[in-house]
Amino acid sequence: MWTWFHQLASPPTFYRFAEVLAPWLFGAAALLIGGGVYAGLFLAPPDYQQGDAFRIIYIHVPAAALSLSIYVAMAVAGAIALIWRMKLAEVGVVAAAPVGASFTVLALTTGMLWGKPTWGAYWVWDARLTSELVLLFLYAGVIGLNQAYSDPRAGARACAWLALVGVVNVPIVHYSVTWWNSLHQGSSILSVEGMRNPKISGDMLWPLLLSLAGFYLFFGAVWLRRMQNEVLWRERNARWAQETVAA
Amino acid sequence: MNPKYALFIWSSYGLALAVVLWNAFAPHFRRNELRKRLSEAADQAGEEE
Repeated sequence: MWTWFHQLASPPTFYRFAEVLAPWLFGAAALLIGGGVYAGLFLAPPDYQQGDAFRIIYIHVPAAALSLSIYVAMAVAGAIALIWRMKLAEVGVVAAAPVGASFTVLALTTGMLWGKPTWGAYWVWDARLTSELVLLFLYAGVIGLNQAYSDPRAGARACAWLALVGVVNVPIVHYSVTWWNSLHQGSSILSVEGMRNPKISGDMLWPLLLSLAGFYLFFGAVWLRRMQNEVLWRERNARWAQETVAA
Repeated sequence: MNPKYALFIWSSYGLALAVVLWNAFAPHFRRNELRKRLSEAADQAGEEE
């Protein structure tokens, strides 16, 4: 197991591994997201209070969950990069940031589009919305910091520090609806209580679970692809990279 | 529900499609660009030798 893990940390092995795995992840993600979105739009019944506006949940919840999970993944990769100085972990931090930022923008925008019909306002300076906006600034900070360095390893280490420091915002986003009076609803499924006793009807829940699984697999595929590009660029003078380009 | 909010629902899905497509294709284009740059650099190095 450890031997396999160490082998995977070598850039050429990782590149070949990602080359095989990414298309499968893309395929599975397309099926799951397609199924989840179709069921969410056409099969799930309208909500008794919100009507059809609730259907934004099938985009908003996966985007919001990913925005938090990607930042946690960056922090874990950042810790590995700083402690063990693993090049692949450094690559993982910088490759995940644009994906995380795009899903945070999607979560915020779909939240605004959901907020108008349900709350009567696009935006309120509520703890959940504000902490999610801070998360977007953290992603922007990581992207900017990486671009500010001419040495990619030094840039990635700086990004790893920012990912580690910024991860303190993730529990604030998640528990903001519990800790403070919030206009935003509490967790429906992404909590222990929510899993034991779901607050959402089964007809509405299963498309959401499909969509969630699909978006997570999609992130896995995109992360692998972005990491491959970054590895290829950093290793451009290595023989394996030149052979890969020539092939 | 106000019928104009149907636009909000479809806009959310449209935006999600844009984000998914950007995420799916941006690494692909970057990869093609990288391959082109690296193979040009390799050709140039070969000519100099």
